[in-house]
Amino acid sequence: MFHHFFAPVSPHTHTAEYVGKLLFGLVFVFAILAVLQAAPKTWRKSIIAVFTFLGGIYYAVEFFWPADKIGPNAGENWLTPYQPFVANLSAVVGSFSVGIGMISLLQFHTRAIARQRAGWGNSVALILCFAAMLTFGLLNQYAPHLTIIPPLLPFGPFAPRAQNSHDVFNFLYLGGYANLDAATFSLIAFYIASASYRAFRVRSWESTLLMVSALIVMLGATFGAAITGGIHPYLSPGVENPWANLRIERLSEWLLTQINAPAQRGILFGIYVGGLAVSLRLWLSLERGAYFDKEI
Amino acid sequence: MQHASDQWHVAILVVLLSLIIVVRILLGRHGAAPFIRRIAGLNAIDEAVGRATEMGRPVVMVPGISGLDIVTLQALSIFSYVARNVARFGNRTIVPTIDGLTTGVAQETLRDAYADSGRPDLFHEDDVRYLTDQQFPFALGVAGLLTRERAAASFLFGTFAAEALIMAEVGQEVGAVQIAGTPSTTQIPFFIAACDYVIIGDEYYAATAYISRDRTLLGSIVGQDYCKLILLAVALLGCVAFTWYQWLTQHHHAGPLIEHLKYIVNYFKPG
Repeated sequence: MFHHFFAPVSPHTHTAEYVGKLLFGLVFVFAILAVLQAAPKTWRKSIIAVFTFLGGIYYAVEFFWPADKIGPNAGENWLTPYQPFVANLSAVVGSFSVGIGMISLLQFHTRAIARQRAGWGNSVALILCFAAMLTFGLLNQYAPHLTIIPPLLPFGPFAPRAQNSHDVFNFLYLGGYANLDAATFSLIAFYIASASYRAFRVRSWESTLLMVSALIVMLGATFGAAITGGIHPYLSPGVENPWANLRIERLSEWLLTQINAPAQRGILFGIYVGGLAVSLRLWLSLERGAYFDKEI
Repeated sequence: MQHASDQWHVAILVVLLSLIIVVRILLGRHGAAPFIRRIAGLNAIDEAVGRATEMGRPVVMVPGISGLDIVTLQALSIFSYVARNVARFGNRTIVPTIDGLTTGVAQETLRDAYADSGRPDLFHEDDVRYLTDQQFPFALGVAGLLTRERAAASFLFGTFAAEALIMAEVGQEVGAVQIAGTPSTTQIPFFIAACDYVIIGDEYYAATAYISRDRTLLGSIVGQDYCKLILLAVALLGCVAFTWYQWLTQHHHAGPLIEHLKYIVNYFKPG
């Protein structure tokens, strides 16, 4: 039943069903919000605790319920088919964040323009860019061949092609946004250089150790093998040279796999146990802290 | 999908660890408060907030680049305690966000923190700003904010990726005291290079307990320590069994011992 009800509906072929489900969804959400608002304040925390528990219990039971070993549903139990439905619920809640974010952003910048705060011109630029991307994004989706800029010369071999909404969107997105994004990513290289300069200064025993280790790993990844290439890996056929362990690429690998990896795994043990503890506290509403122990 | 029946020993371990944590949380509400060792990064929070007040410049708190998940909630929880101190000193807190839902929760968290400190008038909704939902534009937005507002203290708590260094280096350039904490292990080295204090690994999840001294949270920390001891014992057992098994195999031993060891070694192999 759930599968059929929550199956994707095309707005082009099943318009009535699409609109009906959309309206039902909206009415349902607003009804839930109205019930939450109408509920006595002392109940709200319990209502949220129940919903939180129900939200988590699906995944717990689905994981612990034994899965079929053979047959067409091998690797699944009776709850597994509902996975997309539960995941869609999370996706729906997540999609609200886009709308909330957009409203928050526009509110902030329209207020900045209205009050003419310092740098309000940037807010104007942001709203213009926002409007342009939104307009051409929608046109690109629904009317990609709509002519936006007509050819400057209507005839002749050098007449430029008319620019349609797809071209303008590509100009804005690939020509503008994607390039700026890549340029920002490339800035990291310079920041790595300045951060490394400070971190690798020899100030203490620990920083010296860090610098030497970093040097070995960097050389190991580049031309380190050429520096210690003279140390042959074998003394004679079948007999390994113990000094070959001092080859830079081997030292580099040793540092990464025997020193760095165990340290990272130790940190990860703590992180996973910490994550498990926070998840349990939230799921079972045992959290006491910043905003969880307040009356809502 | 993975199920408990694929690897029952892993499922039993998860249940055991969960039970230990829950029981310690429940026990933690009674009896003496456990001791937590000193965490330098968390002690520096008050110092950073005080410095910002002296300089008359705001405090910027960045709750990472993920949505409203466990890591972000933990970051907001830490920010709530820090914001109380900021409000007590009569200073401003600015929180740029990358997610709409986080923006709403952060606004409520800060509003409560300022109200609890008796300074609700100092909270401005515009100080919790949604910038964008894209990684690098968000980093640039934070960098611009740190520069324009001349932040005196910057707290980077949450999930971070490649953009972390952009924010941390700009914070360093404007002379802000920077305290970072993240469970993203790949970003810890960058934060260590660029920030004044870094909270590593499970210290991130211990932060709220350390700052608030709340008994429930302290109980949880004790439970987590027991869990880590169990994991350590399991890891040691695996190392000893595997080394012993390899040695016996290389020296062509046979018998029931090697079969037992083989059984343990197979237990540790991913299913």
